[in-house]
Amino acid sequence: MLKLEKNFIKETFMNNSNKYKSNQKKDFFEFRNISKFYKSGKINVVGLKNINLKISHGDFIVIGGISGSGKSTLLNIMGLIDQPDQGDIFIENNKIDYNNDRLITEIRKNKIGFIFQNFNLIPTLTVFENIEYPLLKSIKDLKQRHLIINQALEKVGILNLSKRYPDEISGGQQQRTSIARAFAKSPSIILADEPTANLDSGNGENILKLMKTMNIREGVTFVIATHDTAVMKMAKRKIIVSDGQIIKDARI
Amino acid sequence: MKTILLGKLYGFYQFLKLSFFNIWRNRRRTVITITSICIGTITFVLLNGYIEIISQGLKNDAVMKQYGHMQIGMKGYFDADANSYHHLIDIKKAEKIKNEIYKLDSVDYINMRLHLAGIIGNNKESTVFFSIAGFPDTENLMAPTLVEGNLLSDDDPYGILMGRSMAAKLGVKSGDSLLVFVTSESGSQEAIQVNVRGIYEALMKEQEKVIIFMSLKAGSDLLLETKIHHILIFFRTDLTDKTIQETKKNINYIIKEKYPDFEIKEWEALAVFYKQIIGLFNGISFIIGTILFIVISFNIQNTMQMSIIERYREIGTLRAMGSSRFDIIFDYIGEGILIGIIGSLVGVVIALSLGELLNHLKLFLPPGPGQDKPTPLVFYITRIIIFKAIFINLAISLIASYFPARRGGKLKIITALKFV
Repeated sequence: MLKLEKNFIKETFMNNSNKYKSNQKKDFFEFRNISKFYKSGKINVVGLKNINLKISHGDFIVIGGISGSGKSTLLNIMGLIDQPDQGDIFIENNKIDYNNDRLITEIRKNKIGFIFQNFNLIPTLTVFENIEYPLLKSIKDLKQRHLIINQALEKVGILNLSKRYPDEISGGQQQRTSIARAFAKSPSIILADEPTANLDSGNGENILKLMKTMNIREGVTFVIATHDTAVMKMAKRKIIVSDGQIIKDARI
Repeated sequence: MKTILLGKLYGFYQFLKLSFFNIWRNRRRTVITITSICIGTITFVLLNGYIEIISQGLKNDAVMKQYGHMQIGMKGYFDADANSYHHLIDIKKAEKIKNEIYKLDSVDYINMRLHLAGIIGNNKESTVFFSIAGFPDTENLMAPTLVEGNLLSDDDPYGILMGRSMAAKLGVKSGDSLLVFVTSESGSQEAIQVNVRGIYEALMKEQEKVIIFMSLKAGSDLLLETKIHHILIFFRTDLTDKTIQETKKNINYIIKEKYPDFEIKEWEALAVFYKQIIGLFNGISFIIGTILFIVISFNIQNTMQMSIIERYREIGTLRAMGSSRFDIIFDYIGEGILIGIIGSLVGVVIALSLGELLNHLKLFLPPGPGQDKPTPLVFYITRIIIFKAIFINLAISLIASYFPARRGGKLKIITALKFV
């Protein structure tokens, strides 16, 4: 391995690990009295009601609940892709101003990673390019960028598939790509909405193990919304949502 | 530093690659859009190539055969009737001006003309005429194309050139004699006998019917004095625009300072017919171009709109991963422009090839109004026409893709992600 690459890995990944470790137990996210309402015809439906929640660095949180309970809404608001109707969100003790789209975009770009139920890969890009695309503007150095992507691919075990297109790989491999894409930008938190819902049990289990390993080894914070009991079992902290309210928040 | 530059270049390559693959997702739609841009570009380039060659031909005809690059006349002459005797210039003064201007290196030759109007005929037929009288050596440089006989000559001062239509009307051929009647400057009726030295053809039939060319000697005999109406100046053909401007400046200076009773007109100010024709062609080109580019614009806009609707979820994903609204708008505009570039380039290549092919085939269009000869279908596609076509296409692609792209950029992430 080139000296440059060695130094880079040391700088990037060691620092990232240290960053996660040093940040552990510090609050990353804080929800204060968050409420969200939807309109269904003329009726206002409660999506979330007075949610108060703190998330620390290094957590592995699973949000459970039946369909329509509000877990995805909670995750979306957490990922700053949806806006609450009431209440405030603090990220690293800074209140989020929803009028400042540029700042919110920057936070999403640098601090939040997403793993989607349907993987949401860009079909015209290869596995490698799918991971690279969000990094093009944030990591200008070509070597550095490629090194990070290769590392991410290696971590999720699909380095050999880097030149394939999404329709040439299995669902499990697509989800791994999605995880690598979320992980490659070294976010403070990765949010996953039903990450195993479109996978068979074997692949689902592998994906969960992968996320858990990344949480333990790299200190990446995961928040997973699911109604899959297998996922719930892996949680360090379980949050159960029902009718838009947190009815249980327990550390395991 | 080097890797950052490489990173940026690679990023641009990725952007192009992604744009290319994205526009290629719906091949049929993209091919239809590119085809419409191609057809528009081909039409625009060929139409302007045809106008260009007509424009150059008319310009050359106007300058070299009718007006020269500049003309000098007595003040008020250019606003008066060309045959009026109020603004005649004495030949000695005209020679003095000529000699002074001739000293300028950029001046190729100078002609002097007298205009007369009268009646020409024989014992069977007569018709009105307008005569252009000049020195045969310089007048012949401006002479129209002869279909019969010879050009004017100092050795045959009463030999005239007559248009085909007039010769047909009078029933004469070269070598025949005719009488010319004119009212002199003093008001007396003067007549001389002339002979048809040559018969010419002109672009416009009307010119052939009434214009005759004669020597200044014959004109002076009719006028009873040696005077002219105006001086025509011709520049060398190898001059740069800068030199032409300098020469014009010098001539203006000479006339303004030394001959305050005289005024100068440039050919553009005199060539009313040329300006009208070019104005008409430019108008047609503008209208056709506008229609074409509106169609292209709608096509691109529709393609981009569909493309964005189909990729709502992708937009949501990219925004969730940190792409800004501007990034989304930029990406989609990039795709629109790429379609424009491909369409333009293919269109230009086809237009150039088609133009070259048609030039070789030597096709003709039916005669224009007032003409009796078919018009050659020839194209002269200049670089400016090509740049103009590409530039307009790119501008249209940019504008046409901006509005759908802006709509994509403004999408709420959560709405976009839920789109199936």
